[in-house]
Amino acid sequence: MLAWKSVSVSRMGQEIFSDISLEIGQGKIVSLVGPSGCGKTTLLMIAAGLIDADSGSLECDFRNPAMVFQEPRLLPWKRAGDNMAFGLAARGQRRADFQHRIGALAVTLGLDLRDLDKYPHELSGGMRQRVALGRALVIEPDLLLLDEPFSALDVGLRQELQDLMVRQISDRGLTAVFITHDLIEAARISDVIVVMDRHPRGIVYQHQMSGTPGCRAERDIFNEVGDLLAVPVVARAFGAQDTDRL
Amino acid sequence: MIGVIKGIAVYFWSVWGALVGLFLFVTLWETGHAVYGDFILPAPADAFARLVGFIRDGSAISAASDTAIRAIGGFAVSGLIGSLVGVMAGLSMTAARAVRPVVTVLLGIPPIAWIVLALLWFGPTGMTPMFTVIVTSIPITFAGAVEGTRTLDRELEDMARIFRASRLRIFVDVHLPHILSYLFPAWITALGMAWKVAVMAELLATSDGIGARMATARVNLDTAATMAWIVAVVGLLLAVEYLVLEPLKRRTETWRRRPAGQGSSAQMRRM
Repeated sequence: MLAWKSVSVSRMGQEIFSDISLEIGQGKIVSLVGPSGCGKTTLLMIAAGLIDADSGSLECDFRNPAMVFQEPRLLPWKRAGDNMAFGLAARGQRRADFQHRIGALAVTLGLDLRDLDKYPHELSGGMRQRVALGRALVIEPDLLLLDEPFSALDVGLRQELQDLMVRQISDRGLTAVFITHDLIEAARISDVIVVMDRHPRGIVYQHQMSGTPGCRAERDIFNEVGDLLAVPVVARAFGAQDTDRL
Repeated sequence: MIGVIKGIAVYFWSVWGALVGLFLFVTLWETGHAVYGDFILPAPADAFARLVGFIRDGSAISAASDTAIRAIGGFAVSGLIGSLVGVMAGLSMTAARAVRPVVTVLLGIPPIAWIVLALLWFGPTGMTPMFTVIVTSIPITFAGAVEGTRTLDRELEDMARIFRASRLRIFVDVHLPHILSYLFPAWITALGMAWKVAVMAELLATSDGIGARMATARVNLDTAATMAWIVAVVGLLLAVEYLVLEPLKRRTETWRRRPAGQGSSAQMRRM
């Protein structure tokens, strides 16, 4: 279980959010959606242990968290394979022990084995994000933190990587927290959608999706997003023009 | 293995390109000689012949080794001090603020002023050029180290921390390569300057080394010998840069370079 308990954070005298509580159950994929600046990323950073809350506490039963960011954040001076192995090497594992695992995972993620010998600048954006996903999955995490991992990719590629990720999450029985500003994306791949807003600050709505992530029909997804946007607090969080666009 | 051979071949091919530029320069020199005559600008062949003469009688080797010890020794000291202090200054904003004006002042003082000071302090010894090299190149290596450290990528560091990298690993794998990519150009600039400053200081301060030989040649109005010594200095500089620093830089920065021929196509491929 991962739980934020009445967590408050402020930076440079400005409150980012206060008194937020959220609990994420074992094996669930939870999406945090909302306008930028509502504190989604900060919430994730607290879970990752990169930011300390000013007050409140974090309860985390997971021992092995991994994270994928909006940018791949690969080390430009390391080959793709070594980048994927970063987490394993940091845990003191020897190259010979994980070499095979890296190769196998790379193939699953749609990478060519030759790509592992390339430097990040020689790979396309989609390839780099696959490597970043591989770096997170290869340490066999129990909790996956995803900060808009696909928002920089074009539509077709985004969907392919979403499916790939949802499959990996369900195959491994992972718990995942997924940040996005795209309700459709959230509805496609998560069990629970948590809507955050700036005014009022914090979590304004939680929605339990029906069906299984990654197995929903497109029409059901659109229907459910439509229903969700009919809720006044959700509509306000996404703004009138966003509702029109959707 | 094949990669290594290919790497060497590519390297020598790039040296070949540099040689073309060098020959063009010699051609210009020859033209200058044809126009102005022996006294103003002796023919390249004469200068090289003189240099060969100096090499034969051993004076070139001893002069060059004196100068090299001063230039490279001074460069090594300034590289070490400048880089270390620069990294420390880059890590702390306060230290950076405190040291920056000092560096600006140091950069503003012309090398010739340092030579005068060093002459007063050390007299006509080898320490004078060495000291001058150290103080003139420290600001360069320092500035490189500060810039490299200040531009460290916090996002990469966050990533490394999430994957539970130790502080040592974060430094070696995340910070050091970045800092080095700033330090190498600074080191190369500093080394180039070290030779020039060492020769200049020798010319005014010492009785040995290439600079002192040039002073003698000037007294004797021996332009060919002067040119010969200039060629010797430049040759030494090129040798150190292309045989030591440049290959080292290539080795440590393969991640910046695209392998010949496949770079852009690999980048163009969508996924």
